[in-house]
Amino acid sequence: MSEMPHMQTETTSTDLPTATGEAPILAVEGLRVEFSSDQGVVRAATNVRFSVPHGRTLGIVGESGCGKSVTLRALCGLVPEPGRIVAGTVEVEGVRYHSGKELASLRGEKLSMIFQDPASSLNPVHTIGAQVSEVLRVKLGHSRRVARAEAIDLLGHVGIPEPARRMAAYPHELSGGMRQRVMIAMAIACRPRVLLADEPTTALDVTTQEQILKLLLRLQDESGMAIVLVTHDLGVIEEFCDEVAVMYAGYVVERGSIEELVSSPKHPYTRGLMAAMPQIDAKSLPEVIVGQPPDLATLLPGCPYAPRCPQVREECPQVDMEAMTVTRCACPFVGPSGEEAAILGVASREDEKAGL
Amino acid sequence: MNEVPQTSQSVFTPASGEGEQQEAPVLKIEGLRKEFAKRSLADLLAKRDGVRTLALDDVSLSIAPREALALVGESGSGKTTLARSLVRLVDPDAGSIEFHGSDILKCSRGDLSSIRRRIQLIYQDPYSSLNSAIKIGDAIIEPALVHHLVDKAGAASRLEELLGHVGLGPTLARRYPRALSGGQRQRVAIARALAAEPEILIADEAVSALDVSVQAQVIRLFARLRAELGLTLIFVSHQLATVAQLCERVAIMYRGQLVELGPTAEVFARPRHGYTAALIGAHPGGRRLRARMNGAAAPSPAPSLQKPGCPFQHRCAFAAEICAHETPPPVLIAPGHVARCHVLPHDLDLAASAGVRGRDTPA
Repeated sequence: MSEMPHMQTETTSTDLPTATGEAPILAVEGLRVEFSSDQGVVRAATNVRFSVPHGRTLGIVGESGCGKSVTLRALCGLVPEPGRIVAGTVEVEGVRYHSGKELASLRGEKLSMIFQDPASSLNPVHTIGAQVSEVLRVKLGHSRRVARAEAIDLLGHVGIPEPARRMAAYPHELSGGMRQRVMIAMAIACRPRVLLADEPTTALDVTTQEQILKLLLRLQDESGMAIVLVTHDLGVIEEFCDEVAVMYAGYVVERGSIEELVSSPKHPYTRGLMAAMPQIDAKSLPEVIVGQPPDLATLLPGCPYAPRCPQVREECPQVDMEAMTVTRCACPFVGPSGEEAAILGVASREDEKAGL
Repeated sequence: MNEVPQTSQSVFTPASGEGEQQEAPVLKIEGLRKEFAKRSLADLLAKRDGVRTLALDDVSLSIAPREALALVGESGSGKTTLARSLVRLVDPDAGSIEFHGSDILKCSRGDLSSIRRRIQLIYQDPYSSLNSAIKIGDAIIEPALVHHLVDKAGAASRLEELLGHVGLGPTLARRYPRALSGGQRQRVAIARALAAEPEILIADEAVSALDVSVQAQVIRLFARLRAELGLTLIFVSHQLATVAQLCERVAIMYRGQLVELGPTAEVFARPRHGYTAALIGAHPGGRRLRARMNGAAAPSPAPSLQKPGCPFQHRCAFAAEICAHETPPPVLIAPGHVARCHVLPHDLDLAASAGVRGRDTPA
């Protein structure tokens, strides 16, 4: 990743500093995931780079099809066929891993994942007790009796009332929030260092969503695990994450602390997303990002957001996205203060009107 | 159920003395009740009654022409049951729904067909609500042909008009649903509803499954259609922010009861029911206001039929002693603003602290 010095917006040393300066538990560098199909190669994630320190939460946000979930799945070796990791490294507690196979072997003990739909990730024909104990028996080699006792502890720990009695319940007998608690219990059974959460609350009610997110924060406080939370809800990001990575068309287009992103979003896409968020106390309707995310199979060179960007310039198709090592924002035309872009935005809109 | 209905009918009807809503309501719902019984095979064999859930508990509500009303609540609150009752996809056990003065629940089959044309429903999932074997254009124009609103000759121009209403290009008409994105499909579903030339559009979680950017487009589309076509909009959602700008009135439901009803801005700024306050507190993005819901791990008690008191008492941060014994009656707070709560309507300071405004002050 070091032989592309041209057109870097901001350069960094090879070691990945995090915003806080602490050593990261999870560090992803130059990750590239590709799916080969009859229509050609689809690059689902390109040059993805981020890190998460001890006890912190990184949020990954973006529209559907922007590579959020693929990135998360790549981290624990779960990229579905015919996809594979073609470049990049994932560092977990200082050890570098290169392939999906290596990462898959970490699953459970170092890395754990929870999914959007707990109803389809639990086995409907086994009791939740059997499913939670199984993790403990397979991964930690516990005896049935020890595993059962620990499973009851775990279920209680994630806030399931009367855990001993609920051990005999089947997934369909539980509410969505309770099922997600069971999934979390299974995910933290082996005390992983990194918890990967893919839209864990999207299918839940707002009140249940808050309970689940608070549970994750409590577990994080206790164990110091790093959490990577994928969501398309900026409200969730704002409330529960320390840092944010905004993804578009497989690229991380902006990265920063939650304070930085909320107070001064730089990339036009981040701004568009924020303006599109309905606000409970806003006075006007949410703004619209014109168009749709691009088809990753037919991605044109240059900035992938250019066709939708209100501040698009002539140079945008020439931007070399691959060479960028984004530490904050992948748009080279956004000044440090963000003000310049605002001026440019006005100018380019007028140009557009004149041109069309 | 008990002595509440008499008061609720009068109080939940808007326009009690207010000048602007003099017009006769399009829909007048009174004392609506629906109970679902779930009886498993084991229950059947043991000749037991199954689990009974009260999905609608004495719901009364009036909707004025051209207004946009939001129905908000968590899953199981009865909001979808209420929406479906309006076109009799669900048959309520008691109560009445008057559409322009005639009761939908008692009308003939012929009248029902005409009423169903004038009240159209749009569903949450545009992937399963469109027939994958029928071309977009045919799907959209079908309701107009069925109800003899256009003839074969006029169909093409009407179709183009409908596509224009929802912002889709005419070339899409020849394609199949699989070629469309989620946002485009939802537009098709809306165009199909519009083909029937409805007066009332009911959107049941119509934007919940969409990405934020697409959600914004569809919300704007609803706002525009309402203005252009003079539609009455009933917007069912579990997200407060989604309805905040679109609907001027909001009805909050909990466990089958209409617990609060009023102007959206007023309800969000000064909620007068513990559940509304909890919903606002749980809304992500409100960093400062911490949840006012008791105990994150507290299980919601199973809904039961004849339990006395407020249905929200176990989860309410404001619960008082009276809440365990008496079902709160509807309290009129201001013209058009009603809440079924023992505490918040009577304590203004508490109510102010529970609202959206309370966010800026650290809790």
